[in-house]
Amino acid sequence: MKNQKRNLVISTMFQQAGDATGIALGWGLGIVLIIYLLELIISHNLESFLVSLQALPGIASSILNILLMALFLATPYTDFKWAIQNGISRKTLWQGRILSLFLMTLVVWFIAQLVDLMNTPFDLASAWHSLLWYFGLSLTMMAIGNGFALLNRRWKWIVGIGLPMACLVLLMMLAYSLVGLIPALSASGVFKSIIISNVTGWVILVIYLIIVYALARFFNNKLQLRRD
Amino acid sequence: MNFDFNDSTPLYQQIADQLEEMIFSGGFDEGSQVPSTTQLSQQLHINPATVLKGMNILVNKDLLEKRRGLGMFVKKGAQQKIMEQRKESFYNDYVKSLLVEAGKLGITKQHLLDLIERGENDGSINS
Amino acid sequence: MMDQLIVKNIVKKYRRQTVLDNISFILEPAKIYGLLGRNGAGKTTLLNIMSNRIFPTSGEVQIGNEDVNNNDDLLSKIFLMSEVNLYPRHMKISQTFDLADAAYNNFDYDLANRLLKVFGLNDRMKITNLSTGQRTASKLIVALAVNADYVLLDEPILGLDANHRDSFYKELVKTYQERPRTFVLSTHLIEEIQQLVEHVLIMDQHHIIINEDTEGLLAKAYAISGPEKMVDEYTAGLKVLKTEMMGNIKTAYLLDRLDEQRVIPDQVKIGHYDLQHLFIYLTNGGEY
Repeated sequence: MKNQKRNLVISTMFQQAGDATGIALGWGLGIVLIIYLLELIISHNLESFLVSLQALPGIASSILNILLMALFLATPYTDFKWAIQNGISRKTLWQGRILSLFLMTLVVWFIAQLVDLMNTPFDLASAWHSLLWYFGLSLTMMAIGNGFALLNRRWKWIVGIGLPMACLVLLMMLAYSLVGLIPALSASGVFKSIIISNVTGWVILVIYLIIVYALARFFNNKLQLRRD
Repeated sequence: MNFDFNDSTPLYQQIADQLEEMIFSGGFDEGSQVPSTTQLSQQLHINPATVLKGMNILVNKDLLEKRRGLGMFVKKGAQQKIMEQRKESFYNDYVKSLLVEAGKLGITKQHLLDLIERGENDGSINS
Repeated sequence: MMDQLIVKNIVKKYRRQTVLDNISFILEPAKIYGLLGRNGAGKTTLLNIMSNRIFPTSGEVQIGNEDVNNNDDLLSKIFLMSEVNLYPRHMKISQTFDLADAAYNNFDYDLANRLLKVFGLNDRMKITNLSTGQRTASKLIVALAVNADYVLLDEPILGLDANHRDSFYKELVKTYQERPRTFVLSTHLIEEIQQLVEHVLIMDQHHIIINEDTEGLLAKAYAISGPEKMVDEYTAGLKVLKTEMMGNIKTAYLLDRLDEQRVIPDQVKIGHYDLQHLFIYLTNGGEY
């Protein structure tokens, strides 16, 4: 029963994503193509037109990236609603959504890699790195989306403006305090080696992924029908 | 069939009474099938449990019988049974209230008997 | 053998306001219940908690002694048809059927398609394009055709005209007989459902004040009328919900068993009153 429901979530999400993709690509590429065609008509420069066409895959990939982020930002509450209407538990909803996120992110990343391959040779390390970044981005969107799904209209405004402000202030304070620390710490060779090391970057990314995954899951399990 | 929810009698009893009346007055012939619980409850939107209770009253009174796989049927001799049952309760159902009402209106026993005579000779009453 | 649905000590508070105050009751399998209460009594909140849409402040909802919260197997036994629409607006009626089929299994498409005709709908219509009555009808169809043991209906007749209400009652009884399961009707139109519900739950002031079989309850709903003194004497010590005076005649509305020992004077008449009036007298704020 659980697997069935989970798969229902996944298939419905893919269906919705497919519809959205069709519309977005259709409109996005369509408009761009029309602009290029107009340029062609005005300038009669066929070569320039053909070069422009090469940009289309890149544009398509960008559109997909944006769609992926927008999807997980905007759909948590609407998905929760039809899911709970059909007796799908929050646990199963989460499983369906995280699997969909995983699969969709893979697809979008893969397409982005293919587009990149048109210009740059394949590099395993950077491909891996970009995959982790993609997951980081979509998980962040999911966490934010899920979090906002818990808020009613009023609190959405409060948090929507307040939280970024608070983050900005915190970052600035952090930056100032670090600047103060740097003369003292730069003497310490250990500190230097930690910051410069590549591994730190990876570790921070992985820790971030874990945190944002946990947040997204936490918010998901707290979802309720809102009164607004 | 009509039901009055403000009546003193519970719904299942009303169902039993109305079915019994229909059997007595020939609305259902003896040996014929009466509507099933299913049909009645759907038609009248009454909870099936209530309808069943009403019909079981008539089964217990020996007026209806369940025939397995077929439905509810009016038993042979049901009309006669009803007649006898009603004769028994005629005193309680009619005579008592007649006497009470007569008492309120100050109608004497002799007057009552005269009225009954009058009724017998009244062509507009079928008896 | 179906399990009972047990509502155990449910409390729901929004900030300082208590909406549900220690609500407990048991739903038996294959019974039709009426859940009655005035606007704001907390019926919808209760139904939302029972179907795991919102969390109680404390208390549990169980089926067969297991908490339904986050439990897919148990949630598959419960279906709530609510006033609000939870489907994406551009969804077609047919898609709501398919979702219910995929999630609950064994959706009765035959019944659903027949009901579409009864209510004058077709399954390609989009939810966003339906009128209030049509929306109610489409949700009803899902509720009647879905394969769940406990079907909760919150205001199932909202916006339905008399003909469609009639159809709904017929279809409800029909599917109830063909596939016995529990229905809970939460509604304001008490008159029309009185004869349908086997058991009545009445909510008032955030509590359950009545939890009885309809028959037993209405058997105690006596209307005693006659000369004032006699009525007062006869009803002394019994639970009187409301009294009315017309000329010299007083009518007392009771919810109590009659004392067999007491003599009924000739001038005192004993009748009954219906569920709707019982509900009004019980929930009128206690004044009578």
